[in-house]
Amino acid sequence: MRNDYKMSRKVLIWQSLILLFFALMLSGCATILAPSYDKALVDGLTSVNTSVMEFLAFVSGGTEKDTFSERKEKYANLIGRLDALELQANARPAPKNMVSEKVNDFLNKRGVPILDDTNAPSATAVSKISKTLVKMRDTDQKQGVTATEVQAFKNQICTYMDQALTYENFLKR
Amino acid sequence: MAIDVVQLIEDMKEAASQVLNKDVTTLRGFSERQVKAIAQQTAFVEAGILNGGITDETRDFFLDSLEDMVLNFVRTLRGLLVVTIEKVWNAIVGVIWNAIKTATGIVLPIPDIN
Repeated sequence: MRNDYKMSRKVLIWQSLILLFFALMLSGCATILAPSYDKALVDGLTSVNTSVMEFLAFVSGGTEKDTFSERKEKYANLIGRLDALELQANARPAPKNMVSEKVNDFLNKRGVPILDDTNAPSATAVSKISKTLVKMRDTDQKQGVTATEVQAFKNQICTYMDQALTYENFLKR
Repeated sequence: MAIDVVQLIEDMKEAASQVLNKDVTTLRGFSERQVKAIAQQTAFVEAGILNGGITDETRDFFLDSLEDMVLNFVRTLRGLLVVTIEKVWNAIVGVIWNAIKTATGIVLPIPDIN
């Protein structure tokens, strides 16, 4: 009687372990095709977005090259933060997947150039925002920027920021 | 216990629909915003070049950037679609595997799409 009890306990323990093993396999095997969501990155993007918009509002009337030194530090701050965020976005492991390859094949067959998927689209967008600000800074230093140019820089930055934020928020799944 | 095929189909459709209904709204909204923004920027740059508001120093930069913006818009859209495919795949496979588990008691690892 006592032996039967010991035996049934052993069986129960083994059954539980096997069940746990399968449960872990099941939970660990969900397909992942895109990078993981990074809250710190989204917070960083949101924060730098506010700072960039504040700066663009400040210079919305255009600038003179004579006063560039007043803005030099602000440019450096914004560009530095954006470059750090690009690095952060690219530092995540990006799963290589069959779906992307199929989409590239589809586009290639229709004569559309294959879209590079080395970097996350959000990382590219952040890189482009940084490059836009670099161009704005260099122009500002050389000759000042007109109000029209400030608006054009802003439109461009907003478009890229929308790409970056939409993609990063979409990764929350 | 045998699998109820009709019910399984319904459950799979429901799982996929739940993901798609939510994601398509986001994808449509994003596409509309981007297309509008890029079109407006094109018109703005053109007008700026004509009236001199955009100088020779930045003209080529803005013209080249229009193409880059479109390219990364398409890349972003593709990225969003990949996430949606991932969610739909996991939702449907989850339903199928759950049906197998309920019917047979066998717990199978979820297959990977890759």
